[in-house]
Amino acid sequence: MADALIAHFTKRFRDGAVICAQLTQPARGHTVTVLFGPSGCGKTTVLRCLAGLERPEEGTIQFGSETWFDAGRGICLAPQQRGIGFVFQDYALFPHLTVRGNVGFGLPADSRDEDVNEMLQRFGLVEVAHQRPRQLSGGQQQRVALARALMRRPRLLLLDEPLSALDTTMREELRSELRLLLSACEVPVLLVTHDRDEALALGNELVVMSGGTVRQSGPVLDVFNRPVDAEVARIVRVENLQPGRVTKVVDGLATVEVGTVTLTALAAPEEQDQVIVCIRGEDVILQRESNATSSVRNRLAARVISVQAGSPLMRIELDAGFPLFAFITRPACEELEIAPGVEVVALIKAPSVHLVSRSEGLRG
Amino acid sequence: MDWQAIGLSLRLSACTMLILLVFGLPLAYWLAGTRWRGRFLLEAIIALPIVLPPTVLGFYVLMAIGPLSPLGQFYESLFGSRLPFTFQGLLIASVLYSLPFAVQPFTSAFATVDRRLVEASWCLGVSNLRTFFRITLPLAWPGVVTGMVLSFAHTLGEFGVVLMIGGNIPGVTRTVSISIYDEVQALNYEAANQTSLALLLFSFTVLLVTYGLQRKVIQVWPTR
Repeated sequence: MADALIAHFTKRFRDGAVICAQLTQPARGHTVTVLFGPSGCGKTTVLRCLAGLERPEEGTIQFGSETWFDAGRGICLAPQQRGIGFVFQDYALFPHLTVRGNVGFGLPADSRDEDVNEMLQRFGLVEVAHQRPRQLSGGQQQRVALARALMRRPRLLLLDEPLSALDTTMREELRSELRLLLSACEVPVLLVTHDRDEALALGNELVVMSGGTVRQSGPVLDVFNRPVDAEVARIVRVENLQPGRVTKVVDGLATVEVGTVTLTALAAPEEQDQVIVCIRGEDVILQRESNATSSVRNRLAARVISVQAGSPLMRIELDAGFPLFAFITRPACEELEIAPGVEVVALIKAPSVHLVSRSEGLRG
Repeated sequence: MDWQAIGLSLRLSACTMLILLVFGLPLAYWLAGTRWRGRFLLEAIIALPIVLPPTVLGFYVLMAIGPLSPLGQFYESLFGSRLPFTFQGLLIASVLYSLPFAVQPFTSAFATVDRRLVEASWCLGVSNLRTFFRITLPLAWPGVVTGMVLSFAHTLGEFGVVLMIGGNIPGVTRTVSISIYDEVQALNYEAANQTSLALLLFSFTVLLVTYGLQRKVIQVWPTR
């Protein structure tokens, strides 16, 4: 791959922590790769090594035909030479400069004021151009940080937990805003997060990290739906992820088409056509026949495909119009006489159907 | 009032402050950022003048720049004159004597500047030097001013070091504090009082202005 970021490196810390990274990312066009994993697993270190803010002990970082880092040949380009944009966790806006000063910071002397104006316009920052960062809302700060990083037309945009500085309600709102802003810029993006919804909403590709190493990488839904090992499964947590389409929203309840069936869910904060439907395996209730009415909104006729023994929960693979995994206890499994081929009814409460909105079509 | 001594003291203080600004800023910047394990050693050396009696410092500086030392001989071969009992010699001693009063506030100020702001600037393609002048220095400015004021004021009040290095040559090494001491020795209390009062008012005004402009003035070594 000529036009790609290819990184293999090891960074050792004095306290004994070792971070090992292998990742590949297209160096052209707009792809969002999400570096996902629990806090403290080394995601930020990987990002900092790519930016040139940390120097790994071993390995190489290749960007297209350029070598950014090669331990063997003693090459390590400074951050200034890499042509990247970096958005820090709490934005790192310069407190002594105005919004305009921040966005236009460090531009060559011959650069035009109009370029800065255009960027302020594009990010809706014209009104606050003469304010200081601390006078801005969280959303505005995020936009300033993005605008500043994009001003120099970086070849790669690195974002470190871009939404973690915000409170929960703001985060959901700004997630969609960030998604729109990112999709509008033709730059490959590498984004670090420990938030599953963020990864689902923003990412095309997913790299799962844990304990300082990359465990799995691939298209977002592939990784979430088919974790390679128990560790990745534990990290991604949700067992069932399916692309869906919201057809209507009435009284806060959304009707979602998934595969060949429709589900009822609590409406996502904003109305979007394309969503990812997340259902935890533990939240799926199985029963043998659909008898009495109950409060459960989603009752799906399903056929058992396979039964995997686990402790303490059994993993039941179902075909419910879409692939669905359910986790039930062994006694329950025995009582219901669940075996491949058996017809069951899968019950899922509407609040257990979690929707993550996505504007673009899904890949992979 | 001994205007000559006041003028000399002000000149000495200003020169000391400027030299400490030029050499102290890079030293402090390096100290604030280094992960070198031997850092504490350098910190201890720089802080020595705070605890050392000025006469001890003066004595060793005198030995170091005297005609018998390699440094003194080198200076003499270069300029044809000797350092002790000259303004230049006094200046060297003053710089060493006031070093902690400049470098400590500078270092504290640099250490409080958020490292990520510096990194953000680097990632925007701005060189290390420009980042220093456009991010680090403006954000550390209150601490830098503190260091400048303290080193100036400290030099203005020095006595023991001057006595050891400079002696008492009017217009060359006779500073304000020496002048006051002389007047008192000669029982000219009136003249001593006038000069003292001028020095007191000046020092107080400088500190008043500095404290008025910024709240946190005196900081010690950053805790890390």
